[in-house]
Amino acid sequence: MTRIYFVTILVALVALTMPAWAQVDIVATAQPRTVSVGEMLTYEITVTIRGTSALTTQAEPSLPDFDGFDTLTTSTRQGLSMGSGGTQSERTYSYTLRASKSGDFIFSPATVQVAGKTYRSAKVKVTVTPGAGSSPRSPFTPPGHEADVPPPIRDEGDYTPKQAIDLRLSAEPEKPYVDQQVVLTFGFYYQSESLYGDTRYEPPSAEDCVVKELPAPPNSSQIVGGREYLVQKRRWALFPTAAGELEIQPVRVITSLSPYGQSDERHTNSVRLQVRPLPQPPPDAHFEGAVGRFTAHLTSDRDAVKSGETFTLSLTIRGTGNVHSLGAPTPRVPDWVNIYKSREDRDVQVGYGGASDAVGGEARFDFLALAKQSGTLNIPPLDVVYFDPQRGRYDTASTDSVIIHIEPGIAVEEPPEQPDDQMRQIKLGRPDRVGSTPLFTANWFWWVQAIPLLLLLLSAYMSHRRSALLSDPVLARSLQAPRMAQQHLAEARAAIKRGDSSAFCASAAHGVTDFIAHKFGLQAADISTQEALAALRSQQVDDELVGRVQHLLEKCDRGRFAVGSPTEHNEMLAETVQVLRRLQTVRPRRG
Amino acid sequence: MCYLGIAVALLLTGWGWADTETGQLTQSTDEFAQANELYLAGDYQAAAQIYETMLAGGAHSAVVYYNLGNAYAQNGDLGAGMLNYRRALLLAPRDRDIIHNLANLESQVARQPSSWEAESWMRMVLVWLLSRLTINELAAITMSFYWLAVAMAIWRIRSRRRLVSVLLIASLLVFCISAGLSYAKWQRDYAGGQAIVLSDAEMYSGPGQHFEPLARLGAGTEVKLVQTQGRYIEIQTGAGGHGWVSGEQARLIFPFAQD
Repeated sequence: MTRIYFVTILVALVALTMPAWAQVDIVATAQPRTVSVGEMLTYEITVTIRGTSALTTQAEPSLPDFDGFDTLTTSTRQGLSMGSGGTQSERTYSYTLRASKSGDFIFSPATVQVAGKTYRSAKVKVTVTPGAGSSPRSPFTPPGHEADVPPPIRDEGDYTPKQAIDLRLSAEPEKPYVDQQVVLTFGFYYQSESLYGDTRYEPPSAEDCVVKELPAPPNSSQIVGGREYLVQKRRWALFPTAAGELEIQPVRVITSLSPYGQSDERHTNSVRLQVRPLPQPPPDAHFEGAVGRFTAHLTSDRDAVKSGETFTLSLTIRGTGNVHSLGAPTPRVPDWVNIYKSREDRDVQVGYGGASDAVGGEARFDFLALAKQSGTLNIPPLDVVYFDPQRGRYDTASTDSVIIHIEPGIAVEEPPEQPDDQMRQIKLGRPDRVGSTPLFTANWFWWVQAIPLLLLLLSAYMSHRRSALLSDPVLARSLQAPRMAQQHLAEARAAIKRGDSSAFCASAAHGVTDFIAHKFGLQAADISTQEALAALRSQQVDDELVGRVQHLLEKCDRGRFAVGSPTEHNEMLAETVQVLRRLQTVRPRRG
Repeated sequence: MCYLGIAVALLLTGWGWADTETGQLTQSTDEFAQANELYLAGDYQAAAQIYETMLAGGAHSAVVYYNLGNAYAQNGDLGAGMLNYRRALLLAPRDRDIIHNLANLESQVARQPSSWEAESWMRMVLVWLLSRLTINELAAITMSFYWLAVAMAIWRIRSRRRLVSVLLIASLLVFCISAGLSYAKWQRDYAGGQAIVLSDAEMYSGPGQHFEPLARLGAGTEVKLVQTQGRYIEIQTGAGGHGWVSGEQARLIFPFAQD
């Protein structure tokens, strides 16, 4: 029980101190900063709460006085994130304002109260010029998108079908700029009695452009020459990526002409676009390929950091146009701040800003920044230059400036994991001579690996053979027989050279008898002529060979007691060799 | 003892093969010196051209790749700089200058996490070993212990001593580990289709610009080549994304001679 009380008290203490841990940021922005009377702007207050209070605190900001402006719409959006850096909630209050009179207006700071503390945003200055102003737009347009929605694109609604089934492919505009949105409309006109079953389409194809399908308009009907035509339409948004002539291939349509499955394939006309290159951007403008109408916002994830700590600057470009491919300029920072592009997210939406044909969305570019010394970091407004194809000119969307307080940190120098910017110099010595081709890819490498295996096999075979000889003495003696005979023959040759007739005959006879004794496994090595002949007969050696052996051994016996000539001895030696060769071919019989 | 002597001789032979020069370093040192002088004079483009000529002639040297990487990096061509540093690192993985400058470049590009990045201590050890040994060093170690294992096996046939059995098992174990490491190195750095995006490139959902753009890849992004179709290549990014980019915008790290 004591432990439960202790834990309860600890949780209560933590809960009580939670608000004290909160870190609150409040940022107010207006976009655009300069409008004409009758035009609209978006005023946004973003309240970011970090720490444990982020989950529980709902802070409503107090608004400045919007004198000189009419409030058209309000909206709120909220995000909550939890990560290693802790919990963070972000709530954005958005107000669409319409300027009603000209002049310079300063919106006082928005304030928010969290845990008894009051947090203030910066003041926001807006300039309203007297100009003619644009016509008021629908108050139902989503906030933040007012400047982005291009004029409606002309529809191909006046086309008159010329046959019972007619197809039409058209594009608007026909002379777009590179990366300008083109709406491709496919119209399928048919009299209801002409078709049976479903119709299948294959979308258009073209090189050097990016294609996105647009929502299909509702089916409609049209009366031509007193006959009713049903009209189906499909639309695609095209973004040409290269200047020059762009041919869009015909759309293929497969229809059923009869209830029995007879089908028909038809093609629309092809469409040729003359894609114009973008004009030269103004000098000193950092154009990164944005074509359309955009607004830009620069924010920091922290307004106070310690030197040596990283923080993230986020540039968000919103609007209609080539959100899929536009680039971003890098925020300008002083030399003592390192900045790296770290992430890029794009959210491309069809029907952006309420116009069904408009393709737009937002691209967000994150930059990881690291301040190496303390001080106030003032990041000036960032200009995003874009080409407006409707106006045919370059415009600039500017962000607000961002101020970040850099406090002295634990490590003013670079953190150890950050590599220093100094590139190490080239190597001036002789190029090294290390082989660049992996040995595994060389044929010789694999052949060489066979050598140890062959050695291993040879060794195993020799070991096996030795074991076999050790376990079978008869076989071992049989294999030794030729060697023994060779020794006796060598002695016989030496005796011939010496002229020792007796020794020659003894050696020759021993050569034969020892060979027979070893070959056929007789117990005694020194056997008599009769024993040798008996052994041969027992082995069923043919009689002719037995006779030759007998003749040779008897001759040797006689020669021991009578001096013979060297010629006779050589003939006997030759006969002995022949007899031994014949005996060598005889296979011993076991048992 | 005779067999032990043979094993040691084979081991030494294996190491000797590791350092055998298989590349063709045929260019004169004068050419190298000339490129270095141009680099030091600030003419990085001209220096890069000479280094490229040397490499085209077969002089696949870590030093030349490193200097070429420097020349490209100084010229603002991050993708080509990264590619050449990575190639240099394949040949000299423990060279501190290459590691430093590569890390420097990587900090300037949106680096995708690699599927080879360490998650467990075993993987950390594996990655550490793979990133510090060349493929030929691993091949030499593998081959040496293979020969040693065979020598021990031959000795084991003649002698039943426990020491021989222990040595045989140990050498077989090291052989298996080094063979596995060699295979992993081969898969990671050579056969895995690792490529570097040379310049900022749009990644599409199919092989052509008319497909939906999925993301923009920054120069120097490391990707994995999956397949080629016409002018386009299918790639896999480190974050697991799939898409197609123009084949001219990405270059394989290995083989060196492709370009």
